[in-house]
Amino acid sequence: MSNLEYSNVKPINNLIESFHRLPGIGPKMAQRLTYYLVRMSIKEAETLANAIRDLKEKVIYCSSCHNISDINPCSICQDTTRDSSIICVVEDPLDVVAIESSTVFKGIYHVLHGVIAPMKGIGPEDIKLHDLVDRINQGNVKELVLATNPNVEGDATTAYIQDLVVSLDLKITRLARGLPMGGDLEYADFVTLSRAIEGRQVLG
Amino acid sequence: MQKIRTESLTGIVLRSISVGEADRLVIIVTRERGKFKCLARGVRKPKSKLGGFLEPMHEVLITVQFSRLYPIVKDVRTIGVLNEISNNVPHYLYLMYIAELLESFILEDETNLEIFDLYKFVLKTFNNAHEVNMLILFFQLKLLMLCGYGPELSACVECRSLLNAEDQYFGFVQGGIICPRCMVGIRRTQYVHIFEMNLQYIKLLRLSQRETWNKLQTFKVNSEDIGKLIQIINDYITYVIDRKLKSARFLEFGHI
Repeated sequence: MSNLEYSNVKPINNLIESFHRLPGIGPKMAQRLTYYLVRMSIKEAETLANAIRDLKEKVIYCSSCHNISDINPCSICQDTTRDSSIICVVEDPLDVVAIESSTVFKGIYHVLHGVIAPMKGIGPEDIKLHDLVDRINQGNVKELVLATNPNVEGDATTAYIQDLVVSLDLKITRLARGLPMGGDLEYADFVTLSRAIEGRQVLG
Repeated sequence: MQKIRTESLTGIVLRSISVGEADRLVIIVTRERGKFKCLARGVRKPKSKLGGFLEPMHEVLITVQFSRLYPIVKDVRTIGVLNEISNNVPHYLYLMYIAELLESFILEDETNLEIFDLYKFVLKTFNNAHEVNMLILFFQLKLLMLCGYGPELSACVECRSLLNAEDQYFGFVQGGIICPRCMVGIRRTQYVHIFEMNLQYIKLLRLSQRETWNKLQTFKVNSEDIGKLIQIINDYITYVIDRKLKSARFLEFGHI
């Protein structure tokens, strides 16, 4: 973080620096946001400040699935209509939002909060992996759906989880690979195409 | 009006970092330009036409447009998949170490064809290598040599005399082998950067540094010795580049 003086007004300077710390916000954008807030009514500014305070005070991690929630266990883990014998393993809370928006999956989740990424110094002990094994051992889990991102890090994490739970009496599945809806076959890459052909399905 | 410059390059993706809404900053080592960073816009979206081509260890033909900050990826096509590591976790960890090692050693926009070919060779050979650890040691030493940091293994770096058939020392500060007689004169403060080396270790290092991979494969080696040497050379690399490689801690056997 630079110690640049953006303004000689200290509160403005502090806020610009705070915005600048956020991902994807450069010094110019931080300045624009700050000066927008200066012009904002006190009521609007208070709403924003309260929203940020509430976020830090009320948002917690579910002790069971590690998803972001305001109650513990989270609403998904508490929902008795969901099938708790199927756990979908995802990388981060946004993936839960994406899968939930499909309305197809009726099981519960386990959020890893990362993937095994050696080049970032992240190993298996740095993500919520071993909690998953405890969860499987404790509950009546019948299926584990591995829904990590389809890239090298996601695949390696999937392979690691597979090795970890292979001895348990459990069905292990992972999300299908293939072509996206509305995509052109001619633009598909080698890996996607080969996985799509491998995972082809019988019609009728 | 300034002319927009585009270039087509042959390269291997080392890694990529997620930036912005759906973009990736791709770090790639190319035959023509050495290492450089380029921005691939929108490639994290499932319908991206380029995303699947920008995975590590794929040799690609990439077209980039040079802009003020980062070159923008305009097109990518796979030439060949040099290694598919998805199902083998230890191999994945080792290959990530190799990629990080390469990334930390080579400078941006500095062409070095020999290093590019070495990396390509190691990726292609990795899955069929009879002794993966030997290949890692081979890569470490060849890379050090090509970057001008190859350790002196034939003569004592202090007195320049040829080495006798006895245990020696390997000094990081000195950049090579120190004979037992010169070791007496080394200051105690440097002892943290000095490792005792038996003759077998020195022989293995010399072979890895000088021989081709095909010839190296014909030698019978002890896996444990190779593992220790990888750690020592990794420590030497840490000393040379003055920082620890993040993936190096996964090289400890049985860590994962």
